[in-house]
Amino acid sequence: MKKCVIALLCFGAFIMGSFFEVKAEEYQNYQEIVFDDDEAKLLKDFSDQEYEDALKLIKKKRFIGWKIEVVNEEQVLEFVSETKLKIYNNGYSTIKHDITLETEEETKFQLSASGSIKVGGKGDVKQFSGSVDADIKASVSYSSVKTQNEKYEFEIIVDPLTYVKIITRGEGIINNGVGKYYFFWINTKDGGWETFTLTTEYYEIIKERIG
Amino acid sequence: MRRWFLAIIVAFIGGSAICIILETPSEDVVSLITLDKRYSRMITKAEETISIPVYISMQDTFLLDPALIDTVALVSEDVEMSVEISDIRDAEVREELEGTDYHLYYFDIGFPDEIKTDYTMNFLDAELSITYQNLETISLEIGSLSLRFSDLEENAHLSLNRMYVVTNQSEIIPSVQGIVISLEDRTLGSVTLIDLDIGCNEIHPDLEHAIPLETAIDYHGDLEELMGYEYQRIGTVEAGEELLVSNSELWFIPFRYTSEIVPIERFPLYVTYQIYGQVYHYDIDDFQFYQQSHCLEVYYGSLRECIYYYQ
Repeated sequence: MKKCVIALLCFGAFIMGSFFEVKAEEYQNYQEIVFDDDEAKLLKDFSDQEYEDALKLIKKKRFIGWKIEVVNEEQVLEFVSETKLKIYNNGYSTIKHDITLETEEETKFQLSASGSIKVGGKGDVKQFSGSVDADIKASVSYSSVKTQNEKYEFEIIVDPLTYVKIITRGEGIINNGVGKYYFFWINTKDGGWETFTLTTEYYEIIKERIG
Repeated sequence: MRRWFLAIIVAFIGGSAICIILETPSEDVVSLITLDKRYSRMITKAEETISIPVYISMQDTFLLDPALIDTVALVSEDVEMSVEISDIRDAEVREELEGTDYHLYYFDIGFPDEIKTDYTMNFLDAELSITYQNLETISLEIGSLSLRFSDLEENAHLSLNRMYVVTNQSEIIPSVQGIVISLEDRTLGSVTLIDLDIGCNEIHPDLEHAIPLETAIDYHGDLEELMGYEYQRIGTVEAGEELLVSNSELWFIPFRYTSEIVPIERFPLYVTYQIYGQVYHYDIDDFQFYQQSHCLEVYYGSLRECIYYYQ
């Protein structure tokens, strides 16, 4: 019996450990992210203790459904993204090149989740799976707005033995927090959630010599 | 008695029907919202287009069918040019403004006949006038356009090394405070810039107040801190100023606005320079320096409405 209890505890600890694995989204891979507010942080940067502390803030139980707690609300951040594209000219004469840039809806609005909260949605609509989506929508500014921008083409002459790269930086807004699911007032699962909205994106063009 | 009852019931039903008809929003009216924007473009290819954002209150309408368009023209007070609408694209964006749902579409304007003629056309307070095959015409106020039709040519004296803009973040809609630019002088130090133009009559790069930079600066730095004094962003730019390109690898050139600060996210650079008194030109194609995502309400003062009434 004792062994069974220990095995169950071990299994429980394993499950809890795997809960705080945040599904990676593009914005989480930006080279550098700086919040205006020093206290703010991404969901993936929550320590286990911070996650547990946030869960403890959810005191009121529910008969059935999710209760959520907002930890970082409307936090403005700046980021340096990775290089959008590079055009090489390894030859000995100049080349004319057309650059087409488009910021897809994928980049403009992104979601992340951990634990028992999952990112789902049908087709192009991004949302959290299940009823927690409505709870989060009710708590933070959250829209699944799609932004398809104007067609953008840029023609550039690339010198011999140089490459041209375009890098992006920008600003966005983060909302994140945690949630607990109750079934007959018993907390059966929990997880973390995060929304990222890109507000402004800046482009910079740089030419460098190859090698 | 029975007749009275019947009359009352008929009157009640008739009255209710009238109320319902009056209360139901009319489907015979289409509202089209456009933005008063600044467009500055260098058109280098026949297939190049300009995308005009149009918010429309009805999706099931002939106004969104490019196949039903007869003629299209860009019209301003003193100039008019025939163009074509190569596509009308549904951006699948829905926004609410004052209780009405609007759907965002892009009207892609093409210039099939104007390419390689090497000239510039400026449209102040332009309207996009569209006439359909049923002879109905709508006029959309789209702002001011500057179009240069020219091929992009190689330059033996100058080459672009780096370029980005510095914006003012304290404004709801950020505006350009200046440009950071690095040009490679291939003539061993004899290139002098005498003019920099972004093709917009309301915004002028100010060579007189350009400052050399030792390192790259933040893309939304404080202008006063950067310049070292309170720079007047509104005013006129002195002609005849010169800037020796080789004096610095990196320059910050502030922008001065003629009368009001207006946002411009994409523009070309037309560089005029001289070498031993001989004047040359170097053009850089219009580059998207930044783009923002705002809801329609943020642009309230720049919104223009066109209403179409079905006959």
